[in-house]
Amino acid sequence: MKVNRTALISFTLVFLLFFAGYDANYLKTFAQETSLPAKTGEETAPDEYDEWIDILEEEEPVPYVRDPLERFNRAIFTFNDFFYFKALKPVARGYGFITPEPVRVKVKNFFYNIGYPIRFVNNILQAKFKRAGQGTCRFVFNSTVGVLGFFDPAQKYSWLNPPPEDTGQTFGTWGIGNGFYIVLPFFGPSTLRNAIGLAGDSFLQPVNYVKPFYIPLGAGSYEKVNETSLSIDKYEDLKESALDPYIAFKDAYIQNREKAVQE
Amino acid sequence: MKRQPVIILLILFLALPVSASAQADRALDFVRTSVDKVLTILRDPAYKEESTREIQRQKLRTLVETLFDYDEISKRALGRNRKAFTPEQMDEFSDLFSRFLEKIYLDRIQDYTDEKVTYGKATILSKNKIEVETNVVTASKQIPINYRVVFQHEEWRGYDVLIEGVSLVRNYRSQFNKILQKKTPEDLLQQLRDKVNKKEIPMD
Repeated sequence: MKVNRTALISFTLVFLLFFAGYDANYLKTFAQETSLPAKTGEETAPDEYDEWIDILEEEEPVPYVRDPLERFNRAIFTFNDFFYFKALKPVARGYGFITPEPVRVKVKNFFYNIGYPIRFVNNILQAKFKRAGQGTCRFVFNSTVGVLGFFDPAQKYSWLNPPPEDTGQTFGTWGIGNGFYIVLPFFGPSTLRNAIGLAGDSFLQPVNYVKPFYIPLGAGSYEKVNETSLSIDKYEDLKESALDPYIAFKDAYIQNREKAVQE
Repeated sequence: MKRQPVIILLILFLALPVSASAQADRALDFVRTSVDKVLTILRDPAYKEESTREIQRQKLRTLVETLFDYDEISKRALGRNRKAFTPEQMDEFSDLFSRFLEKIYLDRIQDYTDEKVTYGKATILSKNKIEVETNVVTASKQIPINYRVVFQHEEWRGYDVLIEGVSLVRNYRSQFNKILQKKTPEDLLQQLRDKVNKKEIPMD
C-alpha cells in the first residue's frame, strides 16, 4: 500500500514536471509574441478563433515589418522587375549559353571565398568565435587546395561550412530591429537595418579596395549575372506563384533574413 | 522495497524523451516514405513521353491530396481573416486554394530531373507538430526544404513547406492579409477562380 502511494506520487511528480516545462516554454513564446506590434490596428473581441490564432502566431514568431514607403517601394519593385526581364535575365541567359555550368559554379565559389572578411568580422562582432575559426579554416583550405577558391573542397565537411554572417545580421543579433521595409534599386528587398548593413559589408569586401573604381563595380555586376545564370527561374517561380508579388517578395525576404539572424 | 519508487522515477525519466523522439522518428518516416512515393512516380519511365504527362500529373495529384491537409493549410493561410468568411466561402476557398497550389507546384515538380533528396533532423514544434528537414541536392547547389507535419485523426499530414527558410503558408497569409485589407472575401475568391481557370499563367 505504501509502495503504491509513493509510486503514485512519483508518477504525478514526473507529469507535473513534464507539463511545467511545457508551460514554461509556452509562456516564453507567448511573452515574445505579445511584445511584437499588433498585426492589425483593430481590436477584436475574444471569440472561438482567438485561442487558435494565438497558437498559430506563437508557432511562427517572425517580426512584422512596417512599410510606410509602400507606394515608393512598389515603384522601385516595378523598376527592378522591368530591369530583370529586359536586362539581367537576357544577359544571364546569353552568358549561361556560352559558359558551361561547372565554370559558373567555380566563379560562384571564387566570389564566395573572397568575401571571407565579411563573414569573419561579423562572426567576431557576434561573439561566434568558433564559427570565425571554422570560416578561417575554410578560407585557407579553399584558397590553397581549392586553387584560389575556384574549387570547393571544403563542401564535403559540414564543420567547414558555418552559415554566412553579414553586418545586417550582426545588427539583428545586437537586438536592433529591422526598421521599415525598403526596396533598393538593383539590390531588391531590404530593410533600413539591412541596407545600412549592406554599406558595412561593402567596406569589408576586399574587391572594393581595388582601384580604379570600375573594377569593383564590374566585378559586382559580373557576380550578379553569374549568380542569376545559376538560378534562372527562381525569380519567375516566386512571382508566378504569388497573388500579390510585391508582398510575396517582401515576406519571403523578411522570413529569410530572420532565419539568417537566428542561425 | 524502498528502492522501487526511485526505479520507477528513473524509468519514467528515461522513457519521456524516448517517446518524444520516437514521435519525431515517425514524422521523419512519414516524410521519407511520402517523398519516395512522389519520386517513384516522377522517375517512372512510363511517363517519359510528353503524351503521358497528364496521366502522371493526375497520379501525382491523387497522391499529394493524401499527403497534405488542405483544410489546415487553408485555415492557416487565412489566419485572422478566417472570421470574415462564411462556412460556404471557406469551403470554396479551401477547394480553390488547393487547386491553385497544385496547378503551380505540380508543374514544377514534374520538371524534376536528377535531384537527390537527403534527410536531416526532425524538430518537435508542439505536441503533435514536427518539422522535418530535407535537402534537395542539384549539381550546382543545395536547396533546404523543410516539411511541417501534424499528427491528427490517427494519421500524419503535411501542413506547411519551408523553402530556404520561407514558409509558404505564411507567405500566402501575408498576401491574403494585404488583399483583404481593401477587398472582400468574394473578391479574393474571384481572384483565385481567375488564376485557377486560366490556361497558362503568363511569365513576363
